[in-house]
Amino acid sequence: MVELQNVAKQYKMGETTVRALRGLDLNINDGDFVAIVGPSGSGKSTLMHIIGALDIPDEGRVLLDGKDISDYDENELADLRGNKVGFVFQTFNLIHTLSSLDNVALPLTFHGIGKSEREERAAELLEMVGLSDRLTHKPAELSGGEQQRVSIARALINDPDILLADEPTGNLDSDTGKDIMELIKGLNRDRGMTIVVVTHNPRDAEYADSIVNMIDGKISNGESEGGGDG
Amino acid sequence: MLLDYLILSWHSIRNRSLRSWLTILGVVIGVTAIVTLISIGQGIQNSILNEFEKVGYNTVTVLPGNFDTQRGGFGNASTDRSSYLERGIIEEVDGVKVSAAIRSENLQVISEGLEGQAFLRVSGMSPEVLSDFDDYFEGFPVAEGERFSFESEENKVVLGSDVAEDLGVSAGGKLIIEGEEFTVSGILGLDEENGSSGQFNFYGDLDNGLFLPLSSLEALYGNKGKASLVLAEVYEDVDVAEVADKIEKAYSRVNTASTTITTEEISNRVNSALGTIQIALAGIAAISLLVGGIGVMNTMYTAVLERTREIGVMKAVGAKNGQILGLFLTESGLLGLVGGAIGMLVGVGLSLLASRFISQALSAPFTPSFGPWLLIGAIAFSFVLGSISGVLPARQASKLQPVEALRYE
Repeated sequence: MVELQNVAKQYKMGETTVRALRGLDLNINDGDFVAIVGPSGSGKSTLMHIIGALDIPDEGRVLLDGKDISDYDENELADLRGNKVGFVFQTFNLIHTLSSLDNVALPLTFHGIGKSEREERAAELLEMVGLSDRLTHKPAELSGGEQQRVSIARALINDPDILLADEPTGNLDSDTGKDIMELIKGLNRDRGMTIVVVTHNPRDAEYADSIVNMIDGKISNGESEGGGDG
Repeated sequence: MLLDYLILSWHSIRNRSLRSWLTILGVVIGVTAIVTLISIGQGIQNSILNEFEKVGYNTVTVLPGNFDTQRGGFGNASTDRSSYLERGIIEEVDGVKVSAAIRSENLQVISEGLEGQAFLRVSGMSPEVLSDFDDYFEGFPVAEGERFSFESEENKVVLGSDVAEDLGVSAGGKLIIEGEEFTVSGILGLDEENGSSGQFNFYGDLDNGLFLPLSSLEALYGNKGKASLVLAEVYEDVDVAEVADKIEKAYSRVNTASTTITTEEISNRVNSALGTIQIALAGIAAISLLVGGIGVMNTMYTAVLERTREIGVMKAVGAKNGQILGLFLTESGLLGLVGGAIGMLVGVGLSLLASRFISQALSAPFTPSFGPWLLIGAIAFSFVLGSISGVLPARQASKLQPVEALRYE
């Protein structure tokens, strides 16, 4: 479903140019659970942004369901993100002025879906992630684990084809992190959802079917089978 | 969609409530200033025009002398100033339906309630003053004593309330005018609430007048057929200005300088003079509104910076540039709208409060005028002002790159 061909990306940080990705090929199939691991600065977040249509490469091609999105304009990319991709972030990135329900329903607002339908679907998803009693709570009133569950519910509300999680357990204690990874694994197992998790926590990577090791903007070992050594 | 934007905007406005309210306050001050100044200005204009409209649009006031109304206004009398008009001339002018004459002289008045003598303005009124032009004199209401017609040949006089008090006489009392005894048949009672004691007619202050039939004055003073103020009502279907012109020409043919004044002319002058003042005042008020708009812009720039990550998240979940733009425009428009609504209410309150002082100052009833266009316009304009002030910040927000926005600390 996602195919990256010789993708390169560089960006400027102050004076220096960072070559985040240096000609990278990657295939992710429907229903895959892939973990992208590597030291910080290895380009794994950039890779995830490109897979999720948050960014476009400087060189190479990105094929999503066979369609090249490398030259999509901003609105087409937004459509793609809104329909096919769900994001989960390390810092949850919930909107702190909105309740759990409104945070989860937010993406549907941009699809012009009516309030009652939005809230109904958001409530269903919050129930699924185990937060049916937290609908009206604001993010500040929730624990870290609960906030991450809200953000997973938000990522699922558009019924995406692929869920991208960037260090989803990075701000959580290990027990809570385990619960979150179980939840994500469940989505892959029970719903057959394609999942890409960026992590540098080896225990998170164990949940994946395959592991992509990144160093210096390249994949060091191709793809290796996960779930084994930890 | 707009409702959703409004709700989202409302959440973020409430979240930084002190800053939002301070921003709104800036708009409130501007809108308050505009609503107050315009409603008071419009109210003054209306009340002045109302006074003149009581006189009627088909009435021409004729004064002796050549006031250069084109250049100097009424105060600038030229040297050619006669004090009388021939009454008979105006009756010959085409288009004049009916005319009335008033003649004022300073005469010696003696009263029992007054030590010594006084020289007071005594006005002889032709009967038509009451029968056809009583509106010109606030209806000429007699509060005390009997109704009057100015047709009587007997020696009777009507007094304004102030002069009656000064002379110490009441209805039925006696006065000696130029050696002749007069009976006070009535005393005027001008409605203070509803009238303005002749502020806007060309007679002057009715409360200080002594009024008797023109025929009585002529009997006292001689010089028949003269008038110091002539009123003419023209036929409905003729051009008032044209008749006024004919009247002036008719008098100039007998070598009498005259000046005609029509209600239309006055209302044009009042409109243009007050209109200019109002525009100037509104312009000054608009400056404060502009400052309010800059406040909105400043707040919105800060909001875009603060919520950069939030914008990144919205883009990550599928928000398009146009939707982010719309969201921030709604938010800044809402700041303007709330400011406009509050400013309108405060402005209405303030001008109602001010109108009490203005009534006292004008010694005339005064109500500020709140046209629907002013109230709706004030709110609509502040919404637009808020939105316009938000355009640049909102554009900045919408153009943020999602990846950079998400990375923003």
